[in-house]
Amino acid sequence: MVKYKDVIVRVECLWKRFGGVVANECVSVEAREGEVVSILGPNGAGKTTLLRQVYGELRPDSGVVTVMGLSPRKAKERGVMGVVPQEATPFNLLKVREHVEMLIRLRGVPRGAVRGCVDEALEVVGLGEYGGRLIDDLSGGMKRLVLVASAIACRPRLIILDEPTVGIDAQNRRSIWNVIRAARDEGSTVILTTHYIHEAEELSDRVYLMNRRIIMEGSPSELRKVLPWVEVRVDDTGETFRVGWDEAVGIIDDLVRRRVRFEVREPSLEDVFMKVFGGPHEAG
Amino acid sequence: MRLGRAMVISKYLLLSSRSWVYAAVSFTLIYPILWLVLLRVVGNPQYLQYFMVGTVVNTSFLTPFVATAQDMAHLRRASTRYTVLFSNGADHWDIALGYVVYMLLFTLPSIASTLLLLMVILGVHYSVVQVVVTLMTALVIVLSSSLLGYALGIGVKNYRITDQVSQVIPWPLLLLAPVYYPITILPQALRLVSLALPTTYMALAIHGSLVLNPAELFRAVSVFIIICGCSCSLVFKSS
Repeated sequence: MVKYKDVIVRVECLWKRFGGVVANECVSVEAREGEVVSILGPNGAGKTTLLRQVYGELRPDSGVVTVMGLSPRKAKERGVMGVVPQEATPFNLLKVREHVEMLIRLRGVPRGAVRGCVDEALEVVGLGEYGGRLIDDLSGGMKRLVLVASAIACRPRLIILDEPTVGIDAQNRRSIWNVIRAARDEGSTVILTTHYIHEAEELSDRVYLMNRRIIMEGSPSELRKVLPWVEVRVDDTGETFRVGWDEAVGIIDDLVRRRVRFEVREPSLEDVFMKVFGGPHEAG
Repeated sequence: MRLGRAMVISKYLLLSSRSWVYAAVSFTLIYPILWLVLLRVVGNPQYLQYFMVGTVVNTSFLTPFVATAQDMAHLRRASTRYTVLFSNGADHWDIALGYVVYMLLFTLPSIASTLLLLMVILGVHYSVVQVVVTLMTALVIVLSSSLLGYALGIGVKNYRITDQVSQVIPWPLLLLAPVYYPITILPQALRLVSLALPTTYMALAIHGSLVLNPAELFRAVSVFIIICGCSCSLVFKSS
């Protein structure tokens, strides 16, 4: 049994409705200390609604949310959360350094520690040279990094990132990935939502697939095992087979004997996602 | 609510307004003085006192109400900056109070400067006590107007409606109430209407402060306490 203090976020059978629309249907989620937990689902699956209840912006209709054993409001008052909300934009007319300072001071970090935390956070996200620049003068990706720096500064116990990498280039995305890994390594818990399934696969210790309710849960490798096939692609002909492992062994053996170039691919988390939520017409 | 958080919010809101400081100075200082100088040139000393009351009410009511309503609507509805503050430690009251303090920092120096410059330009004499009492009264007006603006800004889901409504509401409140002129020039029917308008009591309070009339000031401020209470309960419901 997990001790309560190891569990940073516990969500138990959470219900949330907006008028007649059910956004969360008995959702239960858990995030433990030093874990990266991803919540994946199609658009309108209720991921952001769930997170807004975790950081206390929405009240659940029923169910319980606790953060380190406290209500979200109390936890927030104690400054344990750093959050990048969905589609967040920074205060563009502040300087980069001022923005990070503002949010960590709201989290109650003592004045004496602020400077060091700001310097460290800006270095980690690669904005060390931009501290004195107006945010308005930065690119969209760099503005996103300002928000991430503000959320991770002073290493809060819980970091919530709601689609932090949407619309930014590969380099800046890699920077954010490194930040998430570093935060986890230092013991922070990270809850992440993303539409880049590969990102969740790279970073997560645990993944929840949800569409209003939790449909599947597990580590990326556990979820991949749901699909009992491997994909064999023959380079010369372009043919692709999806077959069970037993059958694949025979096919591979045959291809090797015939000296044909081929590739073998295991199911990815994206395959699982597509299997669970269906094709593009079914997701939504 | 923690006062420290509200102060943090007001500090950084003030810093983020650095780029429109010239517009702010124009609207809150240069325009009122320009009007008063024109009034002097036209020359109607009978209305000078009322015009000064109107100028102070305009700065302490109109600016905080419109600015707070529009800024909050944009922070909350048009961008997610309100959520950035809220999710990282502030609660609704911290943000509301932070914005009120920001408005106070913005408007009170402007009102003090206007009064001082008026004395220089128009030769009116006010004692230190009159100026201080007027500023204290203006503080209460800014507080209640800003909270009303906050309630409107975060209560209405469509920020475009807030943008328009917040600009429309003040004009009847300023024109139908005896803000820029004595109540005696209003027709009887409009006098009754003006009694229901908060700006009437704002003008009475500022007038009572400038002429140091405790009875008038007390009556007007009593109504203000009710307006403040209503503003606070609106904020509470909106949040």
